[in-house]
Amino acid sequence: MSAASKRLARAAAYLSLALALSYAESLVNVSSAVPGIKLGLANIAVLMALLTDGLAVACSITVLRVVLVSLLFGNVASLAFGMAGALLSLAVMALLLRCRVFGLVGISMAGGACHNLGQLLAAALLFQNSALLDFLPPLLLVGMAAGLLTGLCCWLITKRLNGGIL
Amino acid sequence: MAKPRAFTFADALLALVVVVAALLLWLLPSERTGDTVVIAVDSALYGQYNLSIDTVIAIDTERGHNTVTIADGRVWVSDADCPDKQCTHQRALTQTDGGSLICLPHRLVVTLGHGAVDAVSS
Repeated sequence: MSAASKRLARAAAYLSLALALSYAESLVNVSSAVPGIKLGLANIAVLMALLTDGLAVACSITVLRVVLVSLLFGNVASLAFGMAGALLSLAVMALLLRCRVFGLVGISMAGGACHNLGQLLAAALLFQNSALLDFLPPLLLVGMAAGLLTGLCCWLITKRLNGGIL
Repeated sequence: MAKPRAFTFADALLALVVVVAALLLWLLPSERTGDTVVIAVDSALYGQYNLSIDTVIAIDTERGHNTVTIADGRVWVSDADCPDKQCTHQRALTQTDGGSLICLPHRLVVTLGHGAVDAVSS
């Protein structure tokens, strides 16, 4: 297989994985006192894509995942918020990865916190209502906890794969 | 493939800073306390209601339906027709605790404030 075909196959596998993880997550209905709390399992696929194929591929996967997930089993009304969160999260993770001093768990935790931050900032801007920022502290902490989990998953995966994907 | 480590000193430092910042923000007393329920839809004021008068407010917009209930000095979202009904699980607001109720898909924000009640519910 040529390098380009491998790249394409990997990107397709990551996107499918991200969709499957989002679907699995949508089956578990987490009722909570704070809006927007999610495990963010799809972040595992996005972070893996960022590691193996770089920002461009990870970004395409993120955009496609958010759009497809909201059309398939989500809420189209919340698409803009999810997109803002996902893109801010990816940008910060790419930046931290480039710094080379952060580990996978730390990168993922920052990504989780920034996902919630982006989502909330987008909503606060759109609604012109600062009341939404009341939810920032719990969402930051929950985002970090979720990022801790997905970051550990990513680290385990990179260890098992030992550098070789496809 | 780049192979970053699992957890580094920089990670711990970053995590600590964010946790401390979040806790400090959390401990700040909410400015949104008061005896008036302020309902906003899509950045526009929808109505203001007296927290001490029990009432049920039906909010129907092009985005969807929510029911806000005021009873015993508490206000909460009692019903919504969005798929996840997340807003109905949010903690009720009281005059002293303050805070906000939010339905993202319907762009509904319920907060408390001080001030004249303009739109008195029936």
